[in-house]
Amino acid sequence: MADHPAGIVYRRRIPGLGHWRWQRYSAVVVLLLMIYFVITLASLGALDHAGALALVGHPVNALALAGLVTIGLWHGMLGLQVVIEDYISVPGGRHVVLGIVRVAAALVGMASLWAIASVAL
Amino acid sequence: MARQRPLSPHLQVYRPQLTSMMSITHRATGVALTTGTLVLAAWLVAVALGGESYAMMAKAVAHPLGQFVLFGYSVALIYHAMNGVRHLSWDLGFGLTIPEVYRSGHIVLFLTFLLTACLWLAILA
Repeated sequence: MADHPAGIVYRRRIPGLGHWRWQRYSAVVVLLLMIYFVITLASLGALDHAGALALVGHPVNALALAGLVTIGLWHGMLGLQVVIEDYISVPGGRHVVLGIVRVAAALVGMASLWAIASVAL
Repeated sequence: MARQRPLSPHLQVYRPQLTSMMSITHRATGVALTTGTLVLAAWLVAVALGGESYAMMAKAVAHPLGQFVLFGYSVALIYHAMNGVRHLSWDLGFGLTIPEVYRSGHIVLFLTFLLTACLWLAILA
C-alpha cells in the first residue's frame, strides 16, 4: 500500500478498489430501501391481489422496488464474486461460475423489472 | 499442478471464535439473500401475471414451509444488515480494537434477535 496511498490521485491505479467502494455504496442504498420495504410490508400485513397491485403500482414504490432489485442484485454479484474467487481454485472455473451467476442474476433482474413495469405503467 | 502458496491455518485445528464465525455467517447470509431475490422476483411476476398466479404464490407463502423460508430470510436479512453496518463502521475506521470488535459482535447478535422478534410480532399481531 505504501506505493499507492489511498487518495484521489491514485484511486484509479489500485486494482479492486472500485469493487470495494461500490460494494459499500450499494450496501448503504440497499440497507435504506430494505428498511423502507420491511416496515411497509410489516405494517400492511397479509396482502390480497388488489393490495399487492396497489403497493407495487404506486410510483414511489415501483421506483424503489426497481432500485432495490437492481442495486440489490448488483450488491449480491459483488459479494458472490469475492466468495467465488475465494473458494473456486480450478483454473478458469471461477470465470465460468461467475459468468453463470451473473447471467442468472440478469434474468432475475429483468423478470422483476418487467413485472414492476407492467403493474406500474 | 497448483502453485505452492502459503496455506491459511487448518480449520480442523482452529478453535472457532465469535469473530470468525460471524464473518463466515455474513458471507453465508449474503449468498442466501442473493439467492432469495428469486423469491422476491417470483412474487413480483405473480403480481403482474394476475389474480390466479398471485393466489398460488400467496398459498405457497402461507404454507408452513413457505413461512419457514420467509422466517429464515428475515433472520438472514436482519443479521446481514446489522453486521453490514458493523463492517461499514470498520471501513470508516471505527471500533477496530479487539474488545470493541467483540462488543459490537455481541450487539449485532442481540439486535438480530431483538429485531427479528419485533418484526414477527408485528406481522403476526
